[in-house]
Amino acid sequence: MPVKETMTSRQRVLNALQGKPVDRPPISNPTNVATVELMDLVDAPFPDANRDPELNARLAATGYTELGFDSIMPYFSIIQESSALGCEMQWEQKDNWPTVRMYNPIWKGPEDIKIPKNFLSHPDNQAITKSINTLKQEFGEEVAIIGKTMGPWTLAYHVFGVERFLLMTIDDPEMTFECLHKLKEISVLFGQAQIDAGADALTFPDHATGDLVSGQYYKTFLLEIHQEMVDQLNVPLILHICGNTLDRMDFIAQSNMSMFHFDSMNDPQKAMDIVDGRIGLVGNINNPVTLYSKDTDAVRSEVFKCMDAGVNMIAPECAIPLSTKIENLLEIPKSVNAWMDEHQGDELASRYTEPRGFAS
Amino acid sequence: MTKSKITERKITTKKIQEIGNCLELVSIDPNFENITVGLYVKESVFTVWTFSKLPGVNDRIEQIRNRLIALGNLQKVENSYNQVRFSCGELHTRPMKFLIKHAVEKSPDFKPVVGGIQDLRSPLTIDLKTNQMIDPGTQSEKCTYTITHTGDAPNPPARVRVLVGGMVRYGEMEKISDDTVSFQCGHNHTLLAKLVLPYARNVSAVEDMLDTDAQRGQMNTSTLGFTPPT
Repeated sequence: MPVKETMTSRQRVLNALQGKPVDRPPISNPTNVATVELMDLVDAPFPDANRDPELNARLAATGYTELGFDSIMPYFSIIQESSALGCEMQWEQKDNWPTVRMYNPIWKGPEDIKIPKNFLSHPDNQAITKSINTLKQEFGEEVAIIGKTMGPWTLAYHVFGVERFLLMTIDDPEMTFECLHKLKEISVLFGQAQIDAGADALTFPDHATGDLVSGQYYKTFLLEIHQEMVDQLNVPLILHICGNTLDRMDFIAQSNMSMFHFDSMNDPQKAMDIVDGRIGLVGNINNPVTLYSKDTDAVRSEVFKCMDAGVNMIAPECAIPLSTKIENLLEIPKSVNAWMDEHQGDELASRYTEPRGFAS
Repeated sequence: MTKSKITERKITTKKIQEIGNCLELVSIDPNFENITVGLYVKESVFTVWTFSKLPGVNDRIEQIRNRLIALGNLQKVENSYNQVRFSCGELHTRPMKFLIKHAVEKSPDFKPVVGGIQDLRSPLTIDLKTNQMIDPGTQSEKCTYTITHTGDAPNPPARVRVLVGGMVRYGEMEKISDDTVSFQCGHNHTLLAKLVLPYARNVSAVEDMLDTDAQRGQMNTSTLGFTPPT
């Protein structure tokens, strides 16, 4: 007999974020689930859907109304704040991500960091806050609305350029600290604006990624800042860092964030063992190979692997490829239900349904 | 957005149940409003589909369906505006991916080249000759394609062997001899074989093209500009 759902999508996500029991693990991508076909369905194509609140809300809602995920994420990319700061943008086309032209950075050092007076009223930030407001009005308590605010490390790449910023971390750690502490104010400002607009939780991408910097870098430069973000932003925070992050997961578990959105490069069981209930985990389903190019059997296999390991929320590892086939995304909720049916009442399922999670 | 705008949920689920799995997605149709066109397949029937509801979209989908017939010699499914199948009942998955891209991305006036094409790795002009043979295993008739060439080059047979490898790779064909291939179904799909031949000329360039296509729309540290592309 199929497992009976007893919670709304919003309750499920918020419970999972607080380490409380759930009827089944939520399906919730903290980054993005928009695809080119969904853009067509609701006539809200990129790049406009990143910049127009109505198109944005329409496209974001499809993650819930079409795909059956338990949350809605209206901030598809990672560039809204940087556009509002004045970075040079490449908005791209429907089938590609807007990016910051980091080869032409706008700032050189901490003295340049100034938050524009119209930062929150900039159209590219308002696209997100107004969209959250609309979605909240539309869906109320039905589904979790997750916002997103870039961490200072990601913002530093955008405003200083990747190479210059990474060299700064070697040449002048003090200056790096100064920059990060100034930039974190932007993270708080935009995060709070989204909370005020109705966001139930925030994703906090901060790309101290496995292929760029070491785990020790995370501890040295970011751990304290991330702990401070938890104190300042009064909703559950989901940290997102791409790449192999097993070497910093112990530090990440000390960040006090609610969950960590982790990459498929990390074995889910190893990751769960390292964090050991100190932070929840979400993600891990591979994007470029599994979701983009394989079939539903492969998707199911990865969902099952995550659930066997006890991963707290089920999701792709990062923003999904824009040309992902819808059938592979629809398979994620189907697989979650199939796993729950298979494990009804057993020890593995009880990790989700009984109180034993990490502290909020 | 208001509630009245979401009149129905799970539209995609219902549609996919009806038309099957997506074999190939062409993200942008340059010939019609940048819509996304998918080639879906269920029980040997291909459906050309878009979720766009823009005015005129069904006419465009029918036009693409008709391009599949014109460029790949598929058969129209009766009483449909968007469905085709192969006479042999097979799917020919790999070459169909190239065919749908041609049907969507090339100008509606595009016509396949008649006669030979220039090889990219030699001065040869190459072409396909269609033959009929009796399959020694099944004793049934089988259509084969021999790669022919004109012009001067240092070692044409070696070059033809490489082209045969390309046809096997991109056409999902089987090698009959050093210069001859066949579709596994044994049926005559000359237009499809001719569509594959240009790709068979330069496997590494095609692989690069496919990799580039696959990278587009992926979000990772490389595509975001955080690391140099690998």
